[in-house]
Amino acid sequence: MRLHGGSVEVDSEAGRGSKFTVRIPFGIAHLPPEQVVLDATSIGLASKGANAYVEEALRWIDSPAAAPAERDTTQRSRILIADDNADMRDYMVRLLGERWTIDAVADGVAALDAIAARRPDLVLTDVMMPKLDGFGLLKAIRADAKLDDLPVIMLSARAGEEARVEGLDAGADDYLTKPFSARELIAQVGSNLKLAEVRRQAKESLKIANDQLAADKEIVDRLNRQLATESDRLRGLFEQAPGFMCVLRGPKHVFELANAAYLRLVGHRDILGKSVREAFPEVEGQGFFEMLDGVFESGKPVTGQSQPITLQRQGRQEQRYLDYIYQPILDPVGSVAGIFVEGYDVTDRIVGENELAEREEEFRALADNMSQLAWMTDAEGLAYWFNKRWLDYTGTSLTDMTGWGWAVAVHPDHTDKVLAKIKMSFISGEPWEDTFPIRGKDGEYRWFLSRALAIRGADGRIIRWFGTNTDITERLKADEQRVLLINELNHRVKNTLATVQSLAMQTLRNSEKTVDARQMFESRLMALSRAHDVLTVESWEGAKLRQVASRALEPFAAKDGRVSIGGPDVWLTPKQALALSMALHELATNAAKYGALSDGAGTVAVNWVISPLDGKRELELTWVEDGGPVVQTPTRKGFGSRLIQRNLAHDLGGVATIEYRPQGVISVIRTTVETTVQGTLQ
Amino acid sequence: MTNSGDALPGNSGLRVLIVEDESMVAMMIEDMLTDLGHLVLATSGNMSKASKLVADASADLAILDVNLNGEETYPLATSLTKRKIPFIFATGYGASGIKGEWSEVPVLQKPFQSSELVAAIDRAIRPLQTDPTI
Repeated sequence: MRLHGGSVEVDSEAGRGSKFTVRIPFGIAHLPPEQVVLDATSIGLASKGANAYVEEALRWIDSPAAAPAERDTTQRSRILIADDNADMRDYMVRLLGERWTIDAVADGVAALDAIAARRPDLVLTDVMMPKLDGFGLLKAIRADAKLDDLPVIMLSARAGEEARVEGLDAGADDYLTKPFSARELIAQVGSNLKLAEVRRQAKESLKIANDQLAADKEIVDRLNRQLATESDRLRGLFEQAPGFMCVLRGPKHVFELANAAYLRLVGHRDILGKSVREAFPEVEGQGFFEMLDGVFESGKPVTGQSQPITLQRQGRQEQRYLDYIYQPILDPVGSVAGIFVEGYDVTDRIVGENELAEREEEFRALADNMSQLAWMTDAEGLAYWFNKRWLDYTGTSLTDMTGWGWAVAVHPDHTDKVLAKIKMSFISGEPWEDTFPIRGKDGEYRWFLSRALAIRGADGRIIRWFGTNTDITERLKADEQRVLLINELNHRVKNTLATVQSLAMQTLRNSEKTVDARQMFESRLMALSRAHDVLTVESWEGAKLRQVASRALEPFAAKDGRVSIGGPDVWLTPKQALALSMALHELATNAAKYGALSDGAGTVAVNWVISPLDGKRELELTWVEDGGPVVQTPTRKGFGSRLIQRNLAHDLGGVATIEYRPQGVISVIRTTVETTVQGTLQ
Repeated sequence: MTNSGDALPGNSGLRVLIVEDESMVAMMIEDMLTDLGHLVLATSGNMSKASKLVADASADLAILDVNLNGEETYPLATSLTKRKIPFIFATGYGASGIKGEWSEVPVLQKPFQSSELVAAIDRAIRPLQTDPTI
C-alpha cells in the first residue's frame, strides 16, 4: 500500500461491523520513476520461470482471510474451476473457497459435464487443458443459449495483449494471466460475479418490464375489444331507438346518419348524403328548414312539441305530429358542425287526444242538453261533476255541490233517508234509485226520480258513479189525476147504474103490460144514453141546451117541422143536462102517446129565454103543444109527470109545472144558470 | 101507510129526509122508503135547502148523498149528529170514499137494493134504540 502511495483505514463499531477503506491513487504520476515498470509484459516474460515458484510459495503465506470480507450478493455463488494443474486447482479452490462454493475439474469435458449437472455462476478455466481446452469449453458454453450469460474467466500463462484479445474475442468475460496474485483473482472473480449478478438482475428487470408490457398490451387489447363492443352496442341503440334520430352536417343540413325510426317516419326514402331541402321538397314552407338554419347559425337548440308536419309517405301526403329537438353539434373549437335531430312521432297520441276531446265535447253537449239533471261521483261517492241543468235548476254552483254539498238541495224531510240509502249503494255497488223532492232556485220543490249506476273499469272495480234525476212532478200529478178520474168515473158509473135502476123500477111500477114496460124502459134507456153522448162530446163539462133538446127530441123529429126548438145559448151542468134530457123525453113520449104528436096535426114548440134574477140568470123553458087531440087530465100521475113536476124541479133547483090544457099540454121549467157561455162554469 | 104488520116495528113509519142530487135516484129511494112503510119528509138536491131541512125538520132518519153537485155533505152529517138524527150515506164512491171520522156511519153504495136499505136503516137507528139514556 505504501509502495503504491495508498492507505488503509478501519472503522469499526461494536455490534454493527467493520468498515475497511482502501485508497490507491490511479496512474503513475505520484510514484517515483524508478518504481514504475512501463512494460509489464516484458517483466512478466522475464520473470516467468521464477514466478511459478513464487506463486506456489505464496499459496502458503498469502492468506485470503486477511482480505476484507465483502458482504455481497455473490456470497453463495457457485464457481466451477477447470485446470489440469492440480496444484493450481487446489490453490484456486483454497483462495476462492473462502467466499464461494467451488467445484473443480481437470478438463473442458469434465467442466461441461459439471455445468450440465449443475449450473455454476461463474466458470474459471485454464486455456491449455487436455481433451477440451479453454477455448473449446468457452465455445461450447457460448453455443448453448441457456448458458450464454454464464460469465467465463480465462486463465492463461500466455501474457500479452494478443492472447487477452483472443480470449475476449472468443467470448470470455475476462482474461487473467498467470501468474496472478490471490487478490487479483478474487477481485476478478468477485467483479465478474457482481457483473453477472447485475446482468442477471437487469435481465430479470427486463423480463419483468417485458412481462408488464405484455400484460399492458393484453389490457389495451381487451379495452379495444370492449370499445368495439360498446361502439357496436351504441350503434345498435341508435339504430333501434324508438325515437327517430339523425345527424345533419354542415349549413345545408346534409344527412350523415339516420336511424330506422327516422327512415320509417320519412317513408323509407333515400336521404343519406342529401340535404334536407333535397330530401323533403314537400316540407318546404312548413318552417322546419328555417328552424334548422336558425340552429346552425345560433348554435342554440330548438325543441318542438306536437308540431304538425305534412310528409309524403307511401305515395300520399300525410299529417303527422312530432315532438323533437334540434341539438347543435359543436366541433372542437366550438363552432357548429352539424345538428343532431331527435324526437318522437306522437301522431297516435295526438289523434287519440283529439278524439278524446271530441268525445268529451260530445258527452258535455249530451249531458248539458239532456232533459234530466245529471251528476258524477268518484268511487267513494264524492260528487265532482253536475250538468248544466242541475246547476240551472238548483241555482247553485259546482263548488256548492261537490262532495256531499248537493244534499242541501234535497227536501229536509227526506235528507236523512236519501243519504242513508245512497250511501248503502256506494258501499254495495248496487244501483241506486230513490224518489224525493229537490229544491229549485225559486225555492219550490219538485219531485224527482233519482237513479245512479256504478261505472266499472276493465278489472271490475268501480271507477265512478253516474246519476240522473228525472222530474216526475207532472207525472205524479197525472197519476193523482188519473186516480181521481178513475174514482170519478166509478162514481159516475155507479150513479148512472142507480139512475138506470130507478128507470127500470119506475117503468115496471107504472106499466100494466110487460110489452109496454119493455118498450118504455128501452126508450128511456136510449134517452139517457143520448144525454150521455152530448155530455161526452164536452168531456162531461156540461152541454148546450140546444144540443140537449135536439138530441132528446131526435126520435120524435120524424114529425117534420112539427117540433120546433129555439132560444139563446145556455150552458147546462151535466146534471141539468141529464134532467132536462129525461124531462123532454117524457114530455115528448106523452105527446106522442096522447098529445100533439099523437096525430098528424099537432105541433110542439120548445122555447126558452134568459132573464136576470137576484144577480143570477134564470132560464125559463116552455113546452107548448098545440093542434093535437083534446087533452084530458090523466087520472093518475105517471113517471113522466112525477119526474117533471117534482124531481126535475128538485134537480134543477127551480120550478117545473105541467098543465093539461084541452088544446095542448104546457110545461114551464124555471131554473137558474150560472152563465150562458161555456168555460166559466165549474 | 102504517107500521102494522111490520116485523121490525121500530124500523117502520120513520120520517126520513133524503138529500140526493140525482132526481131519478131520489125518486127511487122515495119509492123504496114508501114501500118499506116509511114517510119521506122531504127530498133535496141542493145544499142550502138541505141545510135548512136538516136544521128544522123533525126527522127520524136521513139519507145523505156524500157528493151534492160536487159539494161534500159532511157539514150536514155534523148537523145531524148534533141533532142526534141517525143517518146513512149513499154514494157512488162506496165506503172508501167516506172520510175516516165518519167510518161508523152505514154506507149504501149506489146502486143498492131495498134489502140493503133495510139493513142500513137498521144499523143506523139501532145505537139510539139500545142507548138507555134515550
